[in-house]
Amino acid sequence: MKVLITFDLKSTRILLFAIGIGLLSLLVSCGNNFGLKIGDQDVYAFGSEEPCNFITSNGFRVSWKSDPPVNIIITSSVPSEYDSEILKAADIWNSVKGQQLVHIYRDNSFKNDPGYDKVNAIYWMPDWDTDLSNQQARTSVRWDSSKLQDADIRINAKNFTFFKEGDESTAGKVHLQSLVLHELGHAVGLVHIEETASVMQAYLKSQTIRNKPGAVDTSSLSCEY
Amino acid sequence: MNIKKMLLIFMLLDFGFIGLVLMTSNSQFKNKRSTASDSNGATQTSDLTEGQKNKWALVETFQFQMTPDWIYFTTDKLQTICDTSTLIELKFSAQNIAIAGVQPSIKHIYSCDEIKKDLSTKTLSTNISDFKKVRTEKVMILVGSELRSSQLYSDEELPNDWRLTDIKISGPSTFTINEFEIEKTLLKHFDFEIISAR
Repeated sequence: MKVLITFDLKSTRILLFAIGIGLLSLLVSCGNNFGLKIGDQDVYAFGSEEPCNFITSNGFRVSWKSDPPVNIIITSSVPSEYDSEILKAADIWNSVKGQQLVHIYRDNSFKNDPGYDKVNAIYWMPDWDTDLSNQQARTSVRWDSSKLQDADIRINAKNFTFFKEGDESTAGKVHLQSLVLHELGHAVGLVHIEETASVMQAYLKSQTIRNKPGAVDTSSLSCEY
Repeated sequence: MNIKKMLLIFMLLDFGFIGLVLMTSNSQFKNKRSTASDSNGATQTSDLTEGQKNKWALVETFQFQMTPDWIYFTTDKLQTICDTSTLIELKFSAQNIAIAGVQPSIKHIYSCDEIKKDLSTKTLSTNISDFKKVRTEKVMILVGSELRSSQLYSDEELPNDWRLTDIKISGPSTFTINEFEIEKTLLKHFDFEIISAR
């Protein structure tokens, strides 16, 4: 059989058109992949987003969405000797995404107590709930329609002592940079991630330095930022 | 074979492929939305399994009411549930707030033994004062039930906005009804507001 191959302009256009339609149909089919399961335990829930290790509300991830950087104040309660550690923790998250995700600065004039004031802040707490004396720190976030509006980080200065880079004595102390890195993860919307490579593991042992976000942290963050 | 003919055949196959893809994706989407509302707002349950239909029928009996002092959850099926279960747990979750990535919650766990003492009981009630108190108490043992709080702290205000998010039935027949199922069946959430002084 004789095969005649002549690529004139018209043929090329038809070919490109056909390939384009094929690709478009592929995209349409991929676009309908909602994470939905139907079973007796989950009858009607559909259309919810993959959590991606983010807090979810009504089936949608909660974050600062398109608003980074998140501005966070170091309040006057925090000893200034720890500023550099806190700033380094912010830089680590920023370097993960190659963009400024968190912007931290000291404001000694800010006198509010922690609460829903739409001011994100870090507080050094000399008092702590007796029942929760093993809690090293705590981050509360509030949102409106899945967009974060407020984040407060409380550091338990009653039951823990901290060390920073260069300190000789670390026995029984918590690495503040690692701790703040974890809390900043909550401040941008992440939940606890129980993978050894994650900086979002629930508990940080004393003397342990855990300041390198793992692949799971990076991929989670990429779902929202 | 002329290249133009080849391209025409390729195009026809291409369109056939597109048709197949669209049919498949649409049928999947229809299945996923098997309980979605129709244009009149009525819900369709025709595609549900027998177990799902039973669950749907149960959720349809749920009623939620709040007074200044009490939260009431009512269902005609309360005694029927307790015939095959031991505990009924109502989980109330704070809205628009998370602490360490988790939404604060209060569980009110009722004993079926207590419910079955009075066969006319259709309502589970929660005292608002107890609801506020459990923020600091963490666990409160009441007559025939107990309240437990999670992620609520004495140095943080009790959140204002709450929702009944889960109803867990435990025992030989264990299942959970979540907020999405309540919304799809009743087209509303069981939301309420607690005004608290610290």
